[in-house]
Amino acid sequence: MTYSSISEQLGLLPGYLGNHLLLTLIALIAGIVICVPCGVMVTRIKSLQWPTLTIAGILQTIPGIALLAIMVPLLGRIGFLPALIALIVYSVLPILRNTVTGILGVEKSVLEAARGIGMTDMQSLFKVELPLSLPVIVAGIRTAAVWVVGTATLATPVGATSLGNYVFSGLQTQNISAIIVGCVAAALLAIVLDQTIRLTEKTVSRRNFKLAALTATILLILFAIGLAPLARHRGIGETGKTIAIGSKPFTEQYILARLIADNLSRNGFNTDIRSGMGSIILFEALANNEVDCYVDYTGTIWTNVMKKDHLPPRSRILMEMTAWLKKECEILCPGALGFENTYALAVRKETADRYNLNTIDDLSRLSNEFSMGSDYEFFSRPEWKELKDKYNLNFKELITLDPTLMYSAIAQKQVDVISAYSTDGRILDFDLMVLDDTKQALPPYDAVLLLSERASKNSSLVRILNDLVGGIDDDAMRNANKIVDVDGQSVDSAAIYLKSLIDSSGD
Amino acid sequence: MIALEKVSKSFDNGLTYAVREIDLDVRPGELLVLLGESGCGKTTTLKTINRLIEPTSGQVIINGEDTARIDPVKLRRSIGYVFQEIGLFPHINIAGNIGMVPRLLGWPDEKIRYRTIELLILVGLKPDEFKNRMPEELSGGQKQRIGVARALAAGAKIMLMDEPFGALDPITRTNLIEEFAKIQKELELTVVMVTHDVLEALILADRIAVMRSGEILALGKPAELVSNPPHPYVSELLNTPRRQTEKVNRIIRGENRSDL
Repeated sequence: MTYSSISEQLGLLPGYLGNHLLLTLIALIAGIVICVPCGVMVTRIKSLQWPTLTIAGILQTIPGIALLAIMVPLLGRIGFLPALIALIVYSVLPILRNTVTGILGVEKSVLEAARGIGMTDMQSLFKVELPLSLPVIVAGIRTAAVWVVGTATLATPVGATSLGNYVFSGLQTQNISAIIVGCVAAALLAIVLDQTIRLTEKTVSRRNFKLAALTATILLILFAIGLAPLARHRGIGETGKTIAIGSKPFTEQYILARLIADNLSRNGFNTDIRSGMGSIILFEALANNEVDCYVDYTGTIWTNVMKKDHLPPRSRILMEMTAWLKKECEILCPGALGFENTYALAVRKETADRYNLNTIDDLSRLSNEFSMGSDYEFFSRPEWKELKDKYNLNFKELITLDPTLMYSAIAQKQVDVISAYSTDGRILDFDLMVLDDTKQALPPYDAVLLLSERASKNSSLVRILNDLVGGIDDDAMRNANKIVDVDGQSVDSAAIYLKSLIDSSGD
Repeated sequence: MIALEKVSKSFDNGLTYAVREIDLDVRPGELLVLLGESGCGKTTTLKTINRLIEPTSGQVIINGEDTARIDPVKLRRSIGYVFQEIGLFPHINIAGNIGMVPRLLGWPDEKIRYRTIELLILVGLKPDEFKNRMPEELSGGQKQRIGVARALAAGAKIMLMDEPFGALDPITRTNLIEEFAKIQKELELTVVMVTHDVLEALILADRIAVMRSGEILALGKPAELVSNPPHPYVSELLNTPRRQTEKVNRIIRGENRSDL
């Protein structure tokens, strides 16, 4: 593993940080606007107190990533909005609880004085209770700010750009620099935001309005700098709307998304890569025109989207799938890219030698002694059930792992079998052996380009992307993956490598 | 000036009564003390006057007007209110605390400033030294002086005081009682004061209402009540300071503690 240069990663910072900041600030402001009045109301109507705080407490126990994931089907869309709403929900508890605690904590004698000298309920609230509970409320806002900054890094898989893009893609492509830049930036942002809020509270409660004005100005400038790159990105380019390119969370997908984006931006399109999205989320986003283009695999569409269980020959699958997508979802499939990335069961060479394993069939008699590792999706896919039933597999243990860690896990003998990807450069690098699928339980996974209805109406875009069809064979893809996963080069370098291959074959 | 007519208050829907059918007439310019032990209903009675507590039945009439028909916020702004815990607003400086009611009433700034200085002088604190301080920087006695100043700020002619000197040390307390008596006479304030301190009641009161179990047992001038108590409890209560003084005198003379 080598360290690709930090400065290359820093180039991505303005866009990621800007989006992260925007997401965080809007979520926090909305959280404050919703929760402080709610908290005040709850202190006035005692019977609401318990249910409100209990519901807020329960919402808080939902893991951040689950809350983000659930927003997608709930809102029926991906991107900024579901991420924002999940983050607002996440900010509720600390702000609400501290507002209630702060107001209820105001000394009884002070409240009696307020009433006794003739303040109305509103005057008591604004002149006495809120100013006195301000430090407690602000402490809640600070907690919420730190949580929201942290949770926003998890917004990447639902299609919202954030500093999490560094972490997710860095993890997949073994790019330590990306992970470090992402973590440091998120931590710094949390600290800056926390201290900013603290400073604002101090200047306000000390009634030092000169200092308050100064702080506010500095803040506005900082936020403006943070958000400025967005204005540029969101601006209308020469060819109009930005083309959104999706990618699933693994190396090959990052490379292909980059390749597509590079091809389009060379031809004057504005592009935006939504990287690291979940498989089904991504397909639905394409069907809803929220993503314009991405690469999927025939087997995935066949079994997971079309819900077919029989397996016709490869060419039939491609043909039927193309027709089905057009008819059912208005999605255009210009064709296969030329390589296949199937799921394949792989074992260590030495294991294969010792037990004389060549096919998955050979594995069935030994499977109860082995443990198997796989990615986030495989065990819940229909083809796993198919595979298990056809070969009568019954592993000692099934472990779900990040695809990157899966290879180290088998190399370090923590698992014995993995569901490798056939284009993966690491199969050779880690000295693994792929077992033959003699009973054809696993469907073919030809990589296909998919275009949303909106994108398919843009003829110049379709023409540009057509150049990629049939341009990448198994070897080319495996080498490109190896450039990132084994050699530790950047995704950009791998995309450039593919581009040069395609260009030279086209000549 | 203030008349309570058959005022009753129950906090448990009529099961028990904190005060029962209180009749009381407070004359203009007098200082009337509600005297009694904890839980006798004296504070409840006091709070019905500015509607911090709404009576279950009965009426409170101030200057001929039934208070039930006056907006409680307006009513409270026209009546000064001082209590043991003082309740100065800790986030607002002294001038701001004193000027709070005038500000709520919308007085012009200049007038509020003059009034604040005037009141600081009245309660015996140097304006320049105190007006910009925060409440936490003041001693207990100084805080209660501000409490009194705040209650007087909008020119109220009626003051309700709930054990106003209860939390102060004896020397501060004696000084403050004397000074307050002077202010009360000078401004011709009508004062209803709650206390359980018999000595304080005897020194300050024009009239004392002795309360027990939610009722007024006796009402009269201190001298009358002491010399001619209408009830044994009144006699026992009002004679407590005298008995204590005798004990103290004997101790000072060096008599044996066991003889007491």
